[in-house]
Amino acid sequence: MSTVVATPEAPRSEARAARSERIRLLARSPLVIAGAIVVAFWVFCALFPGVVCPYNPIFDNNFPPNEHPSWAHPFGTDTNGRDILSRVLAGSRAILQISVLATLIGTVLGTSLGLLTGYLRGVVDDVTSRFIDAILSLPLIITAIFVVTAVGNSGRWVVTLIIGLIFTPVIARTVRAGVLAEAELDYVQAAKLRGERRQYIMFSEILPNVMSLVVVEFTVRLGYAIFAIATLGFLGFGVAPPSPDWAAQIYQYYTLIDPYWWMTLFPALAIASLVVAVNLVADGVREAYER
Amino acid sequence: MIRFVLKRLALALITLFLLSVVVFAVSNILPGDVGRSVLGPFATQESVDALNEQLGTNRPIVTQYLDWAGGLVQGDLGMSLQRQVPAWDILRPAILNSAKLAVLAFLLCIPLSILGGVIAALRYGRATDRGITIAGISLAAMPDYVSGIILILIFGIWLGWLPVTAQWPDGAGPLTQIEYLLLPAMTLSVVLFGYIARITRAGVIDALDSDYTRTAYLKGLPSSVVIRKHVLRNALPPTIAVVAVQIGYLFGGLVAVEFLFNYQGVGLLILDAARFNDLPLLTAGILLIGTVYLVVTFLADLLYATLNPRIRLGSTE
Amino acid sequence: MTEQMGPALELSDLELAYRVRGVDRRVLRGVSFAIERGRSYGLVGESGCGKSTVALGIVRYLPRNGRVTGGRITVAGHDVLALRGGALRAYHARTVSMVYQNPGASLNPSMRVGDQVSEAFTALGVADREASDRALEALKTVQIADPGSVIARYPHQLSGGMQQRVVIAMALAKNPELLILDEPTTGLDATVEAEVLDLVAQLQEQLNTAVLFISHNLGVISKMCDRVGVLYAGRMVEEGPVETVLSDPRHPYTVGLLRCIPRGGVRKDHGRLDTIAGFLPSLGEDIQGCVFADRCALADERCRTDEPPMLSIEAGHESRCWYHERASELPREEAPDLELPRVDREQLPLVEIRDLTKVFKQHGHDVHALTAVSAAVWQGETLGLVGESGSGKTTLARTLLGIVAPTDGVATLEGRELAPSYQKRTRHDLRSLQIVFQNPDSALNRRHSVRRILLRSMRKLAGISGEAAEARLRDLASRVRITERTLTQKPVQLSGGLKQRVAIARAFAGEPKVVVCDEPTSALDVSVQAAILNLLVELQAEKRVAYVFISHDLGVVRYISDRIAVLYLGRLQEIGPADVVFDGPHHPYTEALLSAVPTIDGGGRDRIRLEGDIPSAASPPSGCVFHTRCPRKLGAICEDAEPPLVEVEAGHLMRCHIPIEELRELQSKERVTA
Repeated sequence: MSTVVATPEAPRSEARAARSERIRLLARSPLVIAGAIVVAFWVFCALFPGVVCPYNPIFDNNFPPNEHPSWAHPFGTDTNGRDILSRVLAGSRAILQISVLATLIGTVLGTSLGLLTGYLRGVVDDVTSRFIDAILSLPLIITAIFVVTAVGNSGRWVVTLIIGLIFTPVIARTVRAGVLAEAELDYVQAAKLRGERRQYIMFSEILPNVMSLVVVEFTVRLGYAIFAIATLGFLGFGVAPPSPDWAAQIYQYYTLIDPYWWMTLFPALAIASLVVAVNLVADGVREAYER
Repeated sequence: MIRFVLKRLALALITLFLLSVVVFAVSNILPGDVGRSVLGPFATQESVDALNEQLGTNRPIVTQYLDWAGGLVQGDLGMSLQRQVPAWDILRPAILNSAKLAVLAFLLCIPLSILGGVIAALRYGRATDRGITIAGISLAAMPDYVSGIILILIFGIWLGWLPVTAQWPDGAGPLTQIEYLLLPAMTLSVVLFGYIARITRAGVIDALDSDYTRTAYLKGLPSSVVIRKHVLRNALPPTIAVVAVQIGYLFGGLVAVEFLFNYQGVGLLILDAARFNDLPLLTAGILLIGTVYLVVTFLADLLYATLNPRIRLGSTE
Repeated sequence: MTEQMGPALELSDLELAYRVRGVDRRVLRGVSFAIERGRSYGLVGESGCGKSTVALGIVRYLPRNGRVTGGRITVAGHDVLALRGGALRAYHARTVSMVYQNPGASLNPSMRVGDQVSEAFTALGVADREASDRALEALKTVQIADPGSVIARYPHQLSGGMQQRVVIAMALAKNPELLILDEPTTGLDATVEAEVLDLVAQLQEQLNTAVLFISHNLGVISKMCDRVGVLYAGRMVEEGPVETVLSDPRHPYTVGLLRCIPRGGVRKDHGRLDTIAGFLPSLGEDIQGCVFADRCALADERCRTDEPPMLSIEAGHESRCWYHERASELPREEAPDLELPRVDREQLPLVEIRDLTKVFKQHGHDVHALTAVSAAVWQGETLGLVGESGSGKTTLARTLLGIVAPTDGVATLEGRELAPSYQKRTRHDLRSLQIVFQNPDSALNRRHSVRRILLRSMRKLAGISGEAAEARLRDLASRVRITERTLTQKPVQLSGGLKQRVAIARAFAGEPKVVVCDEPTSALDVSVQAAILNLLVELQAEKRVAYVFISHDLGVVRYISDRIAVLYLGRLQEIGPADVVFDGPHHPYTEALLSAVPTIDGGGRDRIRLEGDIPSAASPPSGCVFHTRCPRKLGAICEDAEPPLVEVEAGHLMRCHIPIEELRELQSKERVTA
């Protein structure tokens, strides 16, 4: 007869890999897929404008100006006699570049700051948190306008850096909240009781556990970055003409909206498609991670 | 409760002070010569020095801050460089205009978005919910001016129902003013709808899944009572806090929307100040927006505390 | 109320499934049982067996993905599954009530208690004014202190025990045909639990309500119920009168369950606890034959292919086992006898604390978490720490570890003073003092593999790495019985028991001298608990390690401890050899704690009631801190003077004004077995 001894329990089949579950969840949502396709389309356009644009967006300017949308020019032509379809297809480059880079800067800085303040607590944390509160009492766009004005330069790199810096406190605050919750858990206590140094606890113990939060923040912030950059461009703080940037086109032509509506509408729809697509993906990522 | 109020008040004041420090620091970010940047490269060094003397911009930075902050406390927001009048005189009418627009936008979107969020939560997982959620995400994601352009095209140009600019003729009555403000207010509402509906939905779903809702349902109460007294009573107060935060986004949106509709509010004023490098006016406007935001959040905290017995009566923070 | 025929509850062949990833998974596999009117029925089983699902099915409040796929539920003549709309509401309003775990969450946080109770009446159609009068009456019925003021309060202003009384008042307001209690006292202190259980028993008798009592605690079921059903993997495996099932179990699972529980004064030197090997089948798994066959030592080919029906043993006692007459022959744990370390108390204690005091600042008040606690632990022994929540057990443990720095007093290790904070302690001190936490989910880093967790601890605590560490890892893994495969996994992939083994292995990574065990088994099912306790005892025998063992489960504490310390409001009330503290004469507080525990063996003696809640540590009572609740209070002396902690017998210290001989006299009339 077999002896009943406490044998180690077999691993649960249920528990196998949260990651693949997450990917499956993302891949099953039609909205996320639709969003991803649209984003991929614009990324492709940004990388290979020559492949997708029927005409050169800047130099082919010999078409009859102010033409209504037609078979020859599905989105019409602008006041300079350029093909708007080509300009729209070529227009995603700057905005994607700036927004991805700015979000990366914000995420890296914000995560580090959140990790430090959330784990070390104390005076530094208190002071930083108050400063973050103060900065966040201003809307993103207004802060951006203010800093751009104070710096006196709205070049591409400056805007990237500014947006990244403005995102830093927002991301820091989210990460900090996650770190505070993690720091309460006993595994951190256990690490302390075996004499681990702070850096090890922060970066090797806690950071991996807040990474999902960081990924969610990144996707969500990317949406905001596009929003902010498109708005700054519309207000005249963006990429300078004749570069085929969507927001710059709207800035240039929106006063002519009646009767030349196509010059404004198509770039506007392009912006809308990109931000909505990024947000659909972000929402899917958030849901997959927060379950 | 009193402790709570005092604590929040103190925090708001500290935040305001830090905001002024940050704003002052940023506006002096370039060690540049204020007199030179105002007068341009062709002015004589004497006149530049004279202007710096007059503006006090040749003194140590801390002295400048103390002087400036001291003025703020006494209600002196400084002089506009470009127009040479006190900033407050320019800001006051602009604030009134922006307030009109903001109030109308809130009146339009709060009932609708809360209702939308509640309905989505009650129909969790069904077509209605998905519809509202997707609409919410899409609308919230779009820059204000993009939705504004689409609204202008539809209602202002193609249908011709509403004026495409917000600047009403002089002496217009309240109804005409509202007519002119409708398109910009709708534009602002569209973005807010997404945020508020989403937060409301999340809060209501949490409350629906709670044990106390189960208790209420198992008492045999009619669904309407369960939803009103148990679900919404607990789900809506946190929404208030979120709505307050949206005031901040509203200000952000004001810049683009006022610019799009050419409406003389704070947003446009700030934009103009930025364009003309009028830093004193710009800092004044920004501080004002920060202050309004902090006051509104403080009031929202108070309201939230009054609605939440744990804070009102308890020892919890 | 209309008189209907038939039992209060009848379940026949209830089938229930949860839809997970598009597939229906069976949770209940044809559950049938009935409760006669006015009787109480206990449903027991370990987590995941489907007990709560039964309850939610009866009240028709299944999660969104849950669905009844077959069978019938009849409550007092109502065909529950056929109820719709108004009829369903009337069923909730009049016929059935439910009380569940965590009373704090069951009450609406933003509604006054009185209004919430009134609603139970307005749902019956009573006018508002009358409803609030009856709400007050209902609160009086549940014997809540000061009901007049309670009605105007909000839930967060009440203690856990009071909250549960309010929930019970609401549940009984309608005088239901069936009252379902789903783990109603889990999470409450034993003394509070005892009060709530007494109340339920008393009200049930008054109202003659049928009760379905769901619990994992067999002691509670034994105290509260007439009949009991044992559920395993969604299947009823044994059913019968409580005394019969608990004294003469006829299903191997029930037998195993009962043997897992340390009871009847059993101690580690009497032998090891039995366990149930293997695991619960996963949700919705297809099972051929008996659901328990995989884990059953009696199972043979027949069990694996043919599922037994419920076989009658005698009238009213049935078991789903082909070999029910041999159930009691289920083989016991056969392991070589352990040689437990001989504790030599003539030597210097391994760890000693002297006058340890901790005062926390909270909202401007001083909270006295510990007041001048002194105790010692010798090599190879276990010191059990008991007391209600808020007694300071955990603070004491954390102070010893240096997680919390004491306000006053010192801790020594082998005669040397320990630094107050872990940050200042040497590696030797850190490795000597380790901890096993209550919740392994929190204690293990979710992102690290088991191997990484253990190797890191070895490197930091034992200072070894490379091949030496690998060898040590293999040795350690085999000692705590985790496999090579487990080492490569992350905690989420492991079961609760396995996670706790990893946590124990981590504590033992660097040859500790003292391991603090902070409720290490309270998050686990009893069968897993037994395996973990066995492991701890084995490790103690091998390594001569000392344990400081915190638990609210007195049976567990008694099993593993050599000596027991009883804390109340941060003060040491009694400390002494385990047998002496448990068998008495003991401190009146210890006496009350022991008598609050419902035991499986019944034990017919009146419980000593503790009046009211534990006082706030921010303003402890004068004199003897226990005088406000003491059932044996002498008088003014208890209020004025704190009794000293004196040695009443060899090695037995107590803090009480009543002379030991008098306590012996008083308590000898009423023997307790824990």
